[in-house]
Amino acid sequence: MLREAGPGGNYGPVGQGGRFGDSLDSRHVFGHVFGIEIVIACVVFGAVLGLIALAGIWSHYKRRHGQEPWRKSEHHLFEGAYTAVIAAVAAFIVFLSFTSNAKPAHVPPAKVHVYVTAYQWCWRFTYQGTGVSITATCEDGHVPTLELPTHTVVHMSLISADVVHEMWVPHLRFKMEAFPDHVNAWDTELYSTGTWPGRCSEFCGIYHYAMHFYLKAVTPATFTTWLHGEEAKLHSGHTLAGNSGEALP
Amino acid sequence: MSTIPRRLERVAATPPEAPPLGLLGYFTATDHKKIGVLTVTTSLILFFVYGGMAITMRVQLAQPNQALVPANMYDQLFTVHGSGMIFTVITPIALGLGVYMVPLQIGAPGIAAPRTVLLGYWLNVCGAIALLSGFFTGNGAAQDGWYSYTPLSSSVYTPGPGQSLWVVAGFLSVTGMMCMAVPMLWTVLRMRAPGVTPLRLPVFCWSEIVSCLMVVAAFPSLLAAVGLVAYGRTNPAIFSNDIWDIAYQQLFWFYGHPVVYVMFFPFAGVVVESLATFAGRRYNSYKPTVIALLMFAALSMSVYGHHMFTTGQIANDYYSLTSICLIIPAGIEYFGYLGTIIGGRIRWTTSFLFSLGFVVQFLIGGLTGVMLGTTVLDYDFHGTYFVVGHFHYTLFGGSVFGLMAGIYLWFPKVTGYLLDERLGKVHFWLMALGTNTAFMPMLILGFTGLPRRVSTYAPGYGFGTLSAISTAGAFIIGIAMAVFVVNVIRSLVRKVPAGPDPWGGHSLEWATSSPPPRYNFVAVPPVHSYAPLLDLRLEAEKEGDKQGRPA
Repeated sequence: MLREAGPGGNYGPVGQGGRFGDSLDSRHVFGHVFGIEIVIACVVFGAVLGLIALAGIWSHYKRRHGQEPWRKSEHHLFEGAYTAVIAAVAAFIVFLSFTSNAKPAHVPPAKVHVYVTAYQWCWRFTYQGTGVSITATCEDGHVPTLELPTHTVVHMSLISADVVHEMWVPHLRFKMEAFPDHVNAWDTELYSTGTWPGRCSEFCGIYHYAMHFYLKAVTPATFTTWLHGEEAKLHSGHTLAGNSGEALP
Repeated sequence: MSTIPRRLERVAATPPEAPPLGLLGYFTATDHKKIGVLTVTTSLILFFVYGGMAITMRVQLAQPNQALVPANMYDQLFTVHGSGMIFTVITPIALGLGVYMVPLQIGAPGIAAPRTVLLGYWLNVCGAIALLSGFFTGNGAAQDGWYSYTPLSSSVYTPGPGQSLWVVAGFLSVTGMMCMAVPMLWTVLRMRAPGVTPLRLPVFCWSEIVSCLMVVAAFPSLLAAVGLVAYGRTNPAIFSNDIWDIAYQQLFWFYGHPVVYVMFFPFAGVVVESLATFAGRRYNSYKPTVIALLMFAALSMSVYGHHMFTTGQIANDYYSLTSICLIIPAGIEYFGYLGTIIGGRIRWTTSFLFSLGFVVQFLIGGLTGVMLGTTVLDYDFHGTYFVVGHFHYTLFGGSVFGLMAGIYLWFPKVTGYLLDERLGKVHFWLMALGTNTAFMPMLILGFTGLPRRVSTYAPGYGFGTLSAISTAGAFIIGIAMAVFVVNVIRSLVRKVPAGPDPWGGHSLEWATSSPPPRYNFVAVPPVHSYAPLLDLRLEAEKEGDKQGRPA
């Protein structure tokens, strides 16, 4: 029996997931921080390779000229100096991590609220206040699509109906774990239209590899039309399950 | 029992050993050297078993939509590969090297409580048997990954004895490791030869001390975690409450992060010995390194939350802070490594090459680790192949390369025979090529969107090419390992004698015969620093200068 995430449900405390610096654009924040850290990483890696090369060349020189290896093995001033440099780099990265993960100062109230239920082995997306609920089988290429409007703050609430899952949209550079007895909630905003794959990234059993969905971002007008269409279908008695499954390309 | 022979004169007067018992002798051994050899050899054999599983997985993943092994079997393979390597291969080897070398390096005639150490070995063997026997049960072996999160690992979602055997395996092998760590700690605290003060211990001994401290402090947490799974397998209803699911993750990772350091530090210590020996220099910045090791051990208790950034149920900033602070001790170690080889006169032996491989490849693991410790980057990387690439760079590119540096360094000491240096270099270059071909594509795969623990993947996302390259790398590693096996067998057949000190070593294990006698030393030379044999050589040189002879 699946437990549904939705209003009126009795779940654990709402988590504090998904906080992104000065914006709700996780992709942008990721790009910014990753850009800095990859540069630091490349500089450090290059420096270590360079110093190893220096050691090799110097050793060759010493051998050729019959020089002995250095004898001194303690340099307190130098040891203090490099420790200070490393500590400064660490402090900078801590600062970067803290600021990029800080809660935004002003988040406008969310206009769309989606409840996501992860279950073995597919997804269900329920739009608050509409009764529209999208799911599929995640078999034979039938995966559900989470349709969202662009330039709109969207509130996501994520729960699992069975084991721990994880909702990941690689394009957004963001993921959040789904627990059976705990709601994780976050706000997000999309800035361009498009369709991107979403995947489960916490091992959840034998069909974990096929637990996919699509995230489809459309203009607010298209979204409203689509949502009303789904609601109309609902009232005219269409079955819900599987009606939005889309074949993989 | 009450009189541990601390005075070496008494050791020298010990009656000759009882007639050897042959193979049986290994199973009742109280000689730390036999127990050490037993531990490392057994784990190396298991290393090949679990390595074979890894190659099977890589073949399955070489192309999209492949069905070489069924999904259910694939899940068993990655679970047993991961659990087996961590519980019963790398951790026991890390401690087993210490069981052999620490008493020698401190000039002690033996290890404290040798039967407890031997019990640890056997508990670990039983753990390995329990884990592997899962393959012969109805639902197959454990299949929920090495961290087997609840409620997936409860009897509702994973019925059958395989997963229960995983609980047994974890419990036995981790208990075994505690049985090895405590006597080792006792040995190094109480059984040092005269003159061997704490700040004259070789860095390898310090790396074993901090590893044992982490075993003592963190490993009991795994017993609690698997105990929780055991209870949950009889009463799965407890996991309908979030508190137990998140408690499991906390308990597991409180063990799960320190164990990574236990699997790393002894090899970092090996690399220190190898670099210093072959650069012909005293290890540079000894005191900062000792402080860094202790700082690592202390910090390791508080960083585990970075495995849980995406749970939404942990203080992300705090664990990001502690994790990034690890840069400080890690950086000090790297300055120590580089400061030792710069200004040295390097002998480019196989052991030295593996140490350099360790330094370079572990750095990739460390730098990607900083990214994983940065919360907003982990929101993308968690649970992906980026993580798989990261920890294989640390544990394979790092620890296994460090292990090989140790084997090429100490094989002559342990067996009395030299390994072939030419084959050793072929082994090294193949392994370096294979490691980077196998694991670099994993970092990119994770970056482009491939989750870990998928038994197959859909075409059309560009995962196929990189996966095929990674598979090719796995085969190159396999060939490199075959070269290693050939080298070991060849050396045991040809028996080229090594002599007591083939490398011009720095620490006390080189001041006795190869292999060392039952109680290790006839006489321990005077110890005035952490490189006593180097001191002796330099003194002799000075004497030589005084008498007008060429040095």
